[in-house]
Amino acid sequence: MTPAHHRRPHLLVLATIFCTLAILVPTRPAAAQFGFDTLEPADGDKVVSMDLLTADDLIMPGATTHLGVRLRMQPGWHVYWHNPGDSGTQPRIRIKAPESITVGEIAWPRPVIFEGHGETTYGYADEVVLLVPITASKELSPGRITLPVEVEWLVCKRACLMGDATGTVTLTVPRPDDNSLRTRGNRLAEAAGRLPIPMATVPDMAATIVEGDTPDTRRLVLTGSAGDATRIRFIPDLTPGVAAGDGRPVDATLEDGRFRIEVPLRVEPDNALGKPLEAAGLVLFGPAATDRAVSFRIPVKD
Amino acid sequence: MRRMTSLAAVLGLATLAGAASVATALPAPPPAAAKTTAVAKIGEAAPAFTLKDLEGKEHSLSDFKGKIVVIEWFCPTCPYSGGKSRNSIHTTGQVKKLHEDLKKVDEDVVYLTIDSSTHKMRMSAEDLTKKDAELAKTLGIKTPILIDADTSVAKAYQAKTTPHCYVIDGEGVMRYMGAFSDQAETNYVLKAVTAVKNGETVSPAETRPFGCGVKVK
Repeated sequence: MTPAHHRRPHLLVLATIFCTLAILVPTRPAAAQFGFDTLEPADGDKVVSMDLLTADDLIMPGATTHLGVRLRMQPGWHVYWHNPGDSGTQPRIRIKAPESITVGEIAWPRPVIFEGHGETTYGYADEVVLLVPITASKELSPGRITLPVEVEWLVCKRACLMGDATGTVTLTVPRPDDNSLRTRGNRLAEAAGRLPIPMATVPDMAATIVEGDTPDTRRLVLTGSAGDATRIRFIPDLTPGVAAGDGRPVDATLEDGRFRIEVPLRVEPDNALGKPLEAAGLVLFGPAATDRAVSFRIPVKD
Repeated sequence: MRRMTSLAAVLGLATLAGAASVATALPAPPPAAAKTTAVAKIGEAAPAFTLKDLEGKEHSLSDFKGKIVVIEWFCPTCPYSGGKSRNSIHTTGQVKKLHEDLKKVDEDVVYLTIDSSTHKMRMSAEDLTKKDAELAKTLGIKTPILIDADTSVAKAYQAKTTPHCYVIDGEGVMRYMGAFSDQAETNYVLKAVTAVKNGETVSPAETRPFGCGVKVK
């Protein structure tokens, strides 16, 4: 048996080597070390890491909570918004939920605009948290629920890679008489702060369809207070059967503290894929992911 | 089996047949109503092009007058196109399935694949040709892959993604532009070819394509 004091120098040496390596080896995921050419088409998980967040680990019968899917991209890489723009495709999230749980549509944070190489796309660099509403039935019994989650994304720099990851989220359904489990704050509050603000809640801002002499000359008109923004742009959301401009961003004119954006609409009911005809999109009050965005969705006549 | 052989023969025609012989066999004049456009537009004449395949043989859109032509924009590394991934329309057999389904609708349909990746991949036309030839062998792609070296055809067709698909009728008129499928159950190309073959309105005639950016020069 080796005396303890004889082992200490070895442990010290090992600790020193470990610390040295920890300093020398980059802390970013392994993908940062890959040359671009060494990445394969399905290596998107080497440039994007995924983890799952919950508001507070609890879900109440009859209530809605949110699951956050956080994607963290290597520098220079980006994933896509709901409307990817000229190319790309949105991330997909599949949650295997029991019948007592209803999974809603993804709430998309405001994107940034990527322009270059003859194309314009909309998406997220660095980090994004996609929020998915999860609603429990009123009959949900106390206990624990585990939800398997699959996430898939297209991530692009100059070229594109496909990535995917899986995880699980466990939520607790408290007993009605159990006061030890109560909301401990909302860990998704910052992510929720990145969501666009619905236009209906913004005073003095409007989205209207101005009819022209013919259906081909209809225009979407957006107006409101410019605030302190110096560049305000419209970007369209996905609206099958209704094309707003050419799909690219449209700059606002600014005058006397107000903005005005006019976008020609092309309405083609045959291309609506069975969905209602709508005009929708975002008004971006600045280029950064943290700048304010206002969303709207209004019906368009056939 | 007979059907598959027949399909291979039809699709192989695009690769093997001389342009003159195809044009001679099918002398369908362009419709008077269709004007030549600089860019692709539904209901108008599809932009003309002449491109070389991987064996150096030239193919012109006009070679296929009288036939329905499907064009699919391609990239050898894109995970939605030729790159190996569970979403690739080529490596998962979706394109082969489409070929089989198209044959049931119209045995004479022509399927062309265009690769405009020189600028995006920073490759010469020669190197891209070699890369595509290797991949075509690996994936068993029998239809012509045409190299759009200066990306001018991608510009004319406003090809945004790989895949980005087009259906042109026998009179050379653009009838469908957009996605390969809805990424679920509906293949828009098959739907469009079926409508064209049956003399029906193509609906949808335009969809938003998905995939990697083409990136023109």
